[in-house]
Amino acid sequence: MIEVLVTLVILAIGLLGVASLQFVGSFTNKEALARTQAVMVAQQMSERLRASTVPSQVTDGFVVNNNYFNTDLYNFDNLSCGSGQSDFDCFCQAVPADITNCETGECDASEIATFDAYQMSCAVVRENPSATIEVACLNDSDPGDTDSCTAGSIHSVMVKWPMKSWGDQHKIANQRCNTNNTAEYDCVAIEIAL
Amino acid sequence: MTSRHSQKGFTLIEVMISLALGLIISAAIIQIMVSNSVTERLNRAVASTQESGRYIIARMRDELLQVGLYDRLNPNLSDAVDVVEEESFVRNHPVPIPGDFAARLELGAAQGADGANDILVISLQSDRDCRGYKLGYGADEEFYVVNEYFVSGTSLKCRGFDGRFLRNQKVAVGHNAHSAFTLLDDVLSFQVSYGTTDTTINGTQALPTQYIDASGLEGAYNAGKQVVSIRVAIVVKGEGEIQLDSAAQFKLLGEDVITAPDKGLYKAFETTVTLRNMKNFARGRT
Repeated sequence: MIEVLVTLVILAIGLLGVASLQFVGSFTNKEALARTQAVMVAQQMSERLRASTVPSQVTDGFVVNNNYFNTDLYNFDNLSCGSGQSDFDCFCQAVPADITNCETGECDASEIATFDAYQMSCAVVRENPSATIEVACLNDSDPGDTDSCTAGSIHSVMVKWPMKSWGDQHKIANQRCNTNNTAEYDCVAIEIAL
Repeated sequence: MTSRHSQKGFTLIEVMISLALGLIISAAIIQIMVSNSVTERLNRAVASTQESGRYIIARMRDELLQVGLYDRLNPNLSDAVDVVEEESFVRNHPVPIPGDFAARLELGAAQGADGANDILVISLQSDRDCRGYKLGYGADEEFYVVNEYFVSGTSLKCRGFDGRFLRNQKVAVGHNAHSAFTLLDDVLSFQVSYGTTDTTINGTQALPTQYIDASGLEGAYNAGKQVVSIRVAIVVKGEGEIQLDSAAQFKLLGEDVITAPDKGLYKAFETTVTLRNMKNFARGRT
């Protein structure tokens, strides 16, 4: 009698393990897909920067429009949504009125930058609603000139999202994505020089 | 002689309890197996969309990076035709449109109406077409390749042409009846848009000022604009029969929102490729 009960307990523990294995497997798979998408978005953002290069007017080399480094233009910070819909449903189903649509008309360099920032923000929230994108200039070689990222400086593209841990399998947070966050973030970063 | 020993078996109660516990265990195992197969199907679908998306984006990117490449100083370039004239043609038709080629007037980049799939056609110098065929040239010889990407049914296909055949400068050989090879199956939508320059807008040197679909290409070329970047978006379906809560919706490039035909697992992938050759060419011209 007691043997059966012991067997039952052992089997139950084993079955619970198998069940959680599936759960974690499926979760990790989804996370891998989100990461793939993040890599592609970061790559595409870097490619858009490259498409938008122009020769600098103040130094030798190539620069992109200053709007690319305006953080207000990313992650819909410059837009407001009347309803409580998700960012994607609110902003990305159609181009908002505040954004010049570069698919229906000609844009100048700053409008292209704004449009790229808007489209890439949409691309990150499509797969992962809590993901954000940042474009920054690392160690601007001449902070005094009119180019936000002087030719030859490193342009950094980072896609990051809140890290999720299951159970007590705590992951070590990447320092680069956690410079001034309250929660722990995971990220994909690309650095390019134009 | 047989000997009899007294034997002590389980009581009825013990047998009943054991049976009940056994039933519970079997039920739990069956439950686990059922949910295992469901999860496994979902996992496989997610993994297959990821695999397809990564593959096709990497492949398209590799091939599109070279668009507009023409190096007439390359010693491997076959010089059976006037390469100076051909260079000018490739540079000015990085993305050929219908009517560009005398041998195949229909061939060219086209916009699918009402969300239908687009056709992408590109020009470059290479040693093989997108199917890997040499089209009659020597082992190392390079020539003018025109690659066409289109969706037939639900398969993204590709076929390559010798640009010299298309321009009636040469007879086509080794082309396997111009048959198309499948690059990717289970494609729901394939959309392309083109970043064009406009030299009249201040401060825009060879940077894309507008993303147009293929229907606007002819007008752009006629207005002296140049294609300097290409955007490709593709929606792929995960393998297996998956039923999600609702059918997925996608907004690809400048197209209207599309809804998947069933509740299967669909994922969209998108990329932008800057055409280095065309950007340098356009920059040199302005």
